[in-house]
Amino acid sequence: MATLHINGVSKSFGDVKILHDISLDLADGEFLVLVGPSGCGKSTLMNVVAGLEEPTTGQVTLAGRDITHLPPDERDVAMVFQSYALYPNMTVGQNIAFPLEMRKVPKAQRTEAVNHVAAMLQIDHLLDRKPKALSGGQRQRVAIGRALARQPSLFLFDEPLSNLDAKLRVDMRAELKKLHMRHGVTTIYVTHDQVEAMTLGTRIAVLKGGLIQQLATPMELYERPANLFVAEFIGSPSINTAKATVSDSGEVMLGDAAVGVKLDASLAHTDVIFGIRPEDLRVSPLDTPGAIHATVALLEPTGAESYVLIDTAYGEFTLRMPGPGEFVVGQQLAVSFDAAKVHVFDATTELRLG
Amino acid sequence: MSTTPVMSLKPRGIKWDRVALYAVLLLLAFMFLMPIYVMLINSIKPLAEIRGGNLVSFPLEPTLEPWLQAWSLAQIGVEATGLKPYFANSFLMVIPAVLISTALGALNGYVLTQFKVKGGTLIFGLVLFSVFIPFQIVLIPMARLLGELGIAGSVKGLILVHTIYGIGFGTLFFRNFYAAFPQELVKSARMDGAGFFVLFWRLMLPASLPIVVVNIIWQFTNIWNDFLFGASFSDYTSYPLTVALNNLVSSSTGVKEYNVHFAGAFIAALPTLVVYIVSGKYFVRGLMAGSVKG
Amino acid sequence: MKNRWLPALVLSPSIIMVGICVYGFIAFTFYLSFTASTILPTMTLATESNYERLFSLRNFFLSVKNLGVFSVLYIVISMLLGMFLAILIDQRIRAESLFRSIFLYPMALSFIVTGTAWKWLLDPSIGFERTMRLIGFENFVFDWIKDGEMAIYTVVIAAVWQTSGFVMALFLAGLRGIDGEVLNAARVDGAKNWRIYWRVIIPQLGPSFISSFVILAHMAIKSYDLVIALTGGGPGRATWLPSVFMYQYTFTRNEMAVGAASAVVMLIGIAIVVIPYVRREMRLNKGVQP
Repeated sequence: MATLHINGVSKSFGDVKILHDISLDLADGEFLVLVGPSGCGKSTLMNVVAGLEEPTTGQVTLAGRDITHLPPDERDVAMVFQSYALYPNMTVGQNIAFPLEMRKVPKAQRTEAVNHVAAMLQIDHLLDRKPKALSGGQRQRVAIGRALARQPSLFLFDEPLSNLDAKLRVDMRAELKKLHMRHGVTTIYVTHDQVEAMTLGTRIAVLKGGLIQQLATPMELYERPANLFVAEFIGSPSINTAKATVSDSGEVMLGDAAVGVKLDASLAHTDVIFGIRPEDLRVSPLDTPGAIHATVALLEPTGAESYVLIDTAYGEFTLRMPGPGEFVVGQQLAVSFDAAKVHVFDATTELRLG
Repeated sequence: MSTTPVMSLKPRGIKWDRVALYAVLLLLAFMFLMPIYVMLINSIKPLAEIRGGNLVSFPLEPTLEPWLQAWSLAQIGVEATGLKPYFANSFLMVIPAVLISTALGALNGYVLTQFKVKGGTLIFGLVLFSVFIPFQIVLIPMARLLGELGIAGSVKGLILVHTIYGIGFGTLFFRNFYAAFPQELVKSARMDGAGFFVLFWRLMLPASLPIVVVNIIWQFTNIWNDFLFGASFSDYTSYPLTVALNNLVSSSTGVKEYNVHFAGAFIAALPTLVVYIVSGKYFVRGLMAGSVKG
Repeated sequence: MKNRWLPALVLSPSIIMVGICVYGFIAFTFYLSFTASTILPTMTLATESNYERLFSLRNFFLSVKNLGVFSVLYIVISMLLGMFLAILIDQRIRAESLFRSIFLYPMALSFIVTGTAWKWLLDPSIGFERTMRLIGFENFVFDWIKDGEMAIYTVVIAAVWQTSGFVMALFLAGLRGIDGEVLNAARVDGAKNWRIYWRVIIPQLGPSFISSFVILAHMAIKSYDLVIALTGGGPGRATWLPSVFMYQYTFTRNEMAVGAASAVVMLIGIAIVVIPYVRREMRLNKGVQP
């Protein structure tokens, strides 16, 4: 059972602490995505799991073995790098066979494994080419093939799709998901792209500043973000936020209007942040009670839907509408929302309330 | 951003790997430094100590007499003047040659990379080849030419020779640098109306200051250290330092004053050594400029 | 550019100077090698082939043989030592620049200085042999420099000392140009340190090998200063190289035409090594020309 346990891992480089006491557990066959902005420590964490860096404190256990201080080759972990890191002086076939060669797998078996993997990834016609004669997408498949051929207990993907162009990225995303469904190898996948995170992961760990902000399924992250950062990071376009207050009785107030969310009375008079996702705002008749009045500032049609930027008394909001939208800049409208879709965060701690 | 650790002999457990590594490095460093150490300490020993003792021992009675000898008293040419006048000759020879060949090299490199010149590639190829030729092949005709110009056996003659043969190197250095110069800057300057000389003087030359330094260092070192041209084209008044040193050291008559030889060698080595130490990475860049791009 | 002729004009002084003083002179010397020149150049053609004479001379044969021995040893040892030094320095050692400077400083010295230093270092009466004997190894012998058979190897020693730092610099640049992530991939794939060097790093050092070979080979053929300072060509003629032969026959033995012929042979030797490199650079130049 290739379960992975990361316990209390911290990593400092000199005085700079990159990772703060990270703990997470992966079940066998799980696809965990590590997502976060640049510098959040996700790549460092990957390197620690891969054995390319040693943690300052903490432990890593894979399939019951403590691998914390083992060199990379003894961990039974395979990694796909952002730049693919193919051996430029070897052919595709030799690249894929290399890890097997290092493990002294006999030639006949090696060739079989290479052919099998190459066929699966549809690169069998490229086996004799050198990396520089391949396109980005082809190189990426070779990198994946090299990792697959080893049949490791754990896969690590370090932003493998970042260097591909947009269309190819979408295609490869689907292929990676199919691969995982087929082989079920425990996987950690690092990306800065939240769409990739949401579509690929069984669970997602959002990192910022070397700390796990939230570890949950995609839907949980979307519906119940643990703090403001997660709320703003997940979901595109980003969640709309505005400053709000809490009344004596615990009602969250946007200006003078109650939004329909009631918190514990002990939170009265706290400054809070009100959040509502663009897709949860609906255009309603101008006289609807509790609706927010707004002026259309900008229209961004994307074909299947439109993003409408509206100016309100509480700041600029984005509204997401199906279809091309029939609005004009300068038009007056009103938007309303379901109180259940409202997110409230403490203005100081940025943690979720209620 | 992924942190990519660079390859290293990762020690596991005991750091014997590193100990062995440093031991080997220190041994090699010692072997590389040994000749200069020997030269230095033996240059301040009285002759009797050298003959009586071993090469690596410290001087018991250190003296600067050999240095004095080498600098101003030893007989090299017709008179016993030491190396001093020849030191001066070398400077007089090197400085104009370096400056002119650098200036021409910069202009040439500029033209070859920024303008369509008929046969530009061929010219480049011929210049490139010319820096590799064995200079023995030009000795006879050059001697003839210097004679015809009336500057045979003079410092002026040496300046001419070194300037001409320095142009090739200079052109290559600058050409390589300007070839990698961002074309957008050049295009933008041209659109702003920059002409031939303005483009060179105001944009490209200032940007290539490091290469100018590299070129000067490289040419200085090469020309200062030259022997073949010096031996072939100078006479006893115009010997450059290397030729004078060789005369000093190779005299087969009389007592071999090893300490004076070492002091003389050191004097000859000092300018380029100082340039080397002071210029550090520029020296290395000069060396690299001759290599193949991968 | 309004002035079409300006670039060409700027180039012309150099073209003229290099044209005459390099290629013109080469042609002149080439012509001379067919003349009857002895002390001074003369234009009358020789009755017998100077080249035949050249190749029949024992001195020349000896020079070429010495060059062969010298260059093979010099090139191979310098490359191996240089690469080894580069690999050592690449191990993220402390005081890296200090070590680099130590291995590289001999390149700043004139060959005359190097020759002078090593000449006495290797001299049996005051150098290495004597020092070892004084320490206690009474029967230690190291008189290669005085030995006709072995003297050429002393030239190898001094030459390798002088230039292996340069080869190190070339290989170090090559090593540093290798993508770090590829090395990480190799570690994850299970390759141990030496395997990584052998299978991944060294195969990528092709350009460094080529550059160092071209430069070392041409330096070997041109070696003159070092021999003069170290052994004077001796003992006897035991360390003569074609460069020494040329100088001797042209200026001392009054056989200028033969000397010229030997210079031509040297040029051809260098051309064989260098021309492929020059042609490659010329091909790449197509991408450079505007």
